[in-house]
Amino acid sequence: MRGISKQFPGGLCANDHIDLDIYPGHIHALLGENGAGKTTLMNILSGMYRADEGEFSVDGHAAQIRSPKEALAHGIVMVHQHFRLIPPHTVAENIVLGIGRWFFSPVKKIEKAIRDFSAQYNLPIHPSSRICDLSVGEQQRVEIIKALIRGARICILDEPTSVLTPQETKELFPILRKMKSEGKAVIFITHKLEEVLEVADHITVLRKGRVVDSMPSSSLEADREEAKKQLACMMVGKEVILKVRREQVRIGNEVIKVEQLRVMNDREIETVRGVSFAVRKGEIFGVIGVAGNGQRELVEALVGFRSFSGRIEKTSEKFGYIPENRLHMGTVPHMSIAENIILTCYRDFSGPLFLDVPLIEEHAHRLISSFRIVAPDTRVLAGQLSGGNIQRLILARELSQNPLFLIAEQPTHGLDVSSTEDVWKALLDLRRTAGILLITGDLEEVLSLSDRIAVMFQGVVVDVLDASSAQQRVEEIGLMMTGGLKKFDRGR
Amino acid sequence: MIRLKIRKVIHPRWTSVFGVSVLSIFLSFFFIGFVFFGYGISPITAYYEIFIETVGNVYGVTQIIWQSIPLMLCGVGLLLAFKASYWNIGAEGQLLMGATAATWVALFSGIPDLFQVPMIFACGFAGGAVWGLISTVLKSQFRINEVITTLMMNYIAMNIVLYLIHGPWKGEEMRGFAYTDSFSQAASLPTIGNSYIHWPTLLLGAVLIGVVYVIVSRTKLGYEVKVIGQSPGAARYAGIPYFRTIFWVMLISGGCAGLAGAGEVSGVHHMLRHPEQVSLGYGYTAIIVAWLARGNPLVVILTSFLFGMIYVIGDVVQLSFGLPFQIINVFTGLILFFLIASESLMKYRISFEREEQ
Amino acid sequence: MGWELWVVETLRRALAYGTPLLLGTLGEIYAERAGVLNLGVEGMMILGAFVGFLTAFVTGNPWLGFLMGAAAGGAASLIHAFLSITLGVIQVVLGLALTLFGLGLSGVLGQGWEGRPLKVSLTVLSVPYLKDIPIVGKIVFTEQNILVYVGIGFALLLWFLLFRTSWGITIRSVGENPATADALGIRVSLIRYLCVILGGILAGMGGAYLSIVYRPSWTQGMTSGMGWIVIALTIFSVWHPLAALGGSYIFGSLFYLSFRLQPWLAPELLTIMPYLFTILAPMLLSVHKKLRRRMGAPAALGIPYRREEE
Repeated sequence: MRGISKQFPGGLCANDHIDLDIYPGHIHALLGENGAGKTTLMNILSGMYRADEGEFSVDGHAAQIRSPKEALAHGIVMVHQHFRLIPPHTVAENIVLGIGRWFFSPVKKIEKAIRDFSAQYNLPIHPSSRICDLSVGEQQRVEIIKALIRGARICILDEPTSVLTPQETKELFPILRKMKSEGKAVIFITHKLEEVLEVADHITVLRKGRVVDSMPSSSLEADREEAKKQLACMMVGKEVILKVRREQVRIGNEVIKVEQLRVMNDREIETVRGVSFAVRKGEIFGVIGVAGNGQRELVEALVGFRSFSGRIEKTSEKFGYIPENRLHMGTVPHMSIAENIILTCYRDFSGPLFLDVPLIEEHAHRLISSFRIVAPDTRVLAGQLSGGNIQRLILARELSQNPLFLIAEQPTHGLDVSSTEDVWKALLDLRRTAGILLITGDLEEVLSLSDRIAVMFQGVVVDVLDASSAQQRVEEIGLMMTGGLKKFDRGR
Repeated sequence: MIRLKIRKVIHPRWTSVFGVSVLSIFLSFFFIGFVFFGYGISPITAYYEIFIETVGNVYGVTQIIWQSIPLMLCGVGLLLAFKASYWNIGAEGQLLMGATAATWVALFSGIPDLFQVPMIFACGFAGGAVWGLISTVLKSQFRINEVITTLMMNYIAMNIVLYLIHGPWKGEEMRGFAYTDSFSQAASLPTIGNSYIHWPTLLLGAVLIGVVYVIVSRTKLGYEVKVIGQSPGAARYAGIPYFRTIFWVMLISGGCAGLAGAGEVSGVHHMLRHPEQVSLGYGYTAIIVAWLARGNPLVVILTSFLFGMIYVIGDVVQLSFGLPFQIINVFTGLILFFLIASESLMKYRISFEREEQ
Repeated sequence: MGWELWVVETLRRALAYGTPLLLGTLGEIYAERAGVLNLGVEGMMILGAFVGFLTAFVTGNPWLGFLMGAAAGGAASLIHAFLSITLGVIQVVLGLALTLFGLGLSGVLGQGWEGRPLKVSLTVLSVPYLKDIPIVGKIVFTEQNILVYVGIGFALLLWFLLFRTSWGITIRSVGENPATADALGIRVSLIRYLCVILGGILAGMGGAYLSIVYRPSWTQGMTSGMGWIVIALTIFSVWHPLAALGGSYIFGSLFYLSFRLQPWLAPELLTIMPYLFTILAPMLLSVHKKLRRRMGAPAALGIPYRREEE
């Protein structure tokens, strides 16, 4: 791939003139944080997206990849993070879907091929089991066989271990090595350093849409820990420039205390594994981690959407919540600003039966001006606002209820600079009278806003740092986020 | 190379919505003209005749009004249900159960004359409400989709009525048809002059439209209904209890249809008879009445008159030209087709873009 | 009459009464398996009934009648397919519109033809040798019209197609997860069109059966809600063609019994059975968690598919 660029509407530059070389019989790791552009790049390679600029050449010849079908013609197949399988169907039915070779009894005919591949690559799988009965690791193997049977020469795996248990992860690597020895090229997207060092032959690090560096893994430091540091440094960068000033605020009582929290996700896998922390009034407690390490389930448990074991003690039942999903949860896009402004507090603006419409209007007007929501009047529909204004709307709503405790989930995700600034200012303001739990994957954000920072990886809080020392320890935070460091070793 | 670019539009302007609705109606009339033509009748003659006999004379207008009454009541109830994205296809059955309850009051309850009419309405409302709430219970306990349950309950209701009029509630039989005894004077609704317009029900209809309007625009319940209907995720986030809200929605929705049924048996027929005579498909037509009103309860008045008129057109066309009454279903079907097709087209703005090779 | 004879006779008649239901259900199974909820079956059936009757009457050939009836149903289903697949309109309302339209159009067109008896019909035959098989022979192979066998044949064929061929896997996948199918290069819209049209053809055929075999005549609204029962049957037979056989014949026997049992039980209460069954069945199924997972509606049923934009 040469010079691949892609911009999304809204100005976000996901890929910026990226070059990438893939060789057969090699395992190539694509490393980077959330939003670095790894998945976008691979979606382009596998034909799901089209690049704005750039070109491909396959086996030395120029090639066009405009659709998954064309990619498949070149032997490029992608195994997505969220499997493209049909749960009520069997393994064989899923694998044979779309293969036009047999009309009669395709399932029986493909079973032999499945068994052959299964044996060859040591991927034990029963062709007649239903997908919904399989474990996640087994489902992944089905996806891999699906790719191999279709003649994949380049197999792209998007965050393959993010859904696996440690045991299943151990079982995945020999499979990758076997694919490599059969001459396949494997590209795997990840943010986990341990795995990269374990299995990759070649590593490309992306940050903010650009290639930071690309090197064979042999060229890294021989000592594992040093190598990890090198990579983490490339991933997150050594310096983080802070643009806001935090003033000193007096810390008050605890507003929420969490003890030994354990939460299971929809697949009945424990994704929050014994988390304990407390947030006090006057502080912003930031939880930094790559998405998918248990943060969503943590929030769902705190908010009451999911059952959990362990203890959650809130000082008051009333709290604010700024959800990650602005359009399908935080607002009702087809309703007006005024109607959205009371979404979580409409009972405060109504009597036993009726809504106090004038009061709501007045409230809406006040908030529009104080939070600088750009809209001509209160009747504008929420869905017509820009992302930044939608977030201002949500902020205005939650903050105006004067909560003692607020959860802010990825609050500046996808926002432009000025909106981001507004959000940060608002949170810092609130900090004076409340305790805030900030969940984010943005290192800059967590360092700018938090008084204390917890690093979350694989459902566990790896460590909690003070803001003052966090500045100097960015490297370590990066390592902890990616599993490179199990717990900060105070000796160093 | 020119590429077709299709963008989604969140909220079409209400003027385009209105214009498109009117256009759909006109297009349907236009196509029906072909049917007239096929029968050797000039469409112009046909429409002229229709105009005269419907809005052009008093009798026609009274016909329109009394047929709009059940449409109005069922329609406004369905509007509320649809606002919550609860697909109540069972207005027909709820209407019939309301009629049944009213019949019980009139013929078998022994309630003193003075209270007959109020009780007829009260029990009619209750009958329809209970019938509608059964689907809600089934959804909340067994997750069964309301489209299936409400639809099936229509047929069960029809057969219950058939059973009653042929069996335990059978009155004197005349010419082989089955129906119950006639209602007493006290159990019958007064009408305007010699027409079928049973004005108490009409009044109730107008009142209920007002009530639903107020609910939707000014109450807590209305707000909850709207949020549930538009964004279940946001409703969950806001802590709005789904089934408690739907309970009230279906209570009102089924109740309104039940009132319509009570009105029909008490004001028009003065007896319980064959389901297809008690309700000329009002419960199904009301779905379109509600749909066409685009979420505004006040517009239901207009749309129910429109479809009342279509029913009368069916009569006129049958009497004057010998065309079958069924033509109104062609009308209604066509209007719906054009309406929903245009609705989906309105969601997109199509533009052409040059794509550099 | 001994009760065994009585049971055998009921089952025998059940096949004849259940065949229109069977045809309609098989068609709707295909449409829904592909993800399209077609509630317009009643409209398609009645159009098929009228066109079938008219053709048979005019040409004197019942088979031609079936052909044209099927074509009429297919043509009507094209309206549904275009609006639901290409335009992505709301399918529940669309089906209702189609039903009303079909009832209305057939009533209008059929006005002059009401009450005229059809002089040609399908022959009733008994299959030699097979009819002597104890019990089964008396039920299935004795004095049935040919279309009963056509119905059974279709059921077997369509089952085979759906579960033993690659086409079947494609169809089922399109209904479960169109995005996955699309990503594998399957043309979702085309598959859905074909299945909806097949549904229309079979519904039309079922309707034609009513007016050519069942009651060789035409009356407006003669389907009397049979299309809605088909919708219910589709669910009741868990979207499986072979179960549809059983389901249609159960409902068919209920129809027959509603005449036969009249001296003893109110017929209306018997007619309620199918509708009650449709509500009870999911209740019972939902109790067994594993069943619920495996035997549910196609996951993408009723949801218009739009390829996600970048």
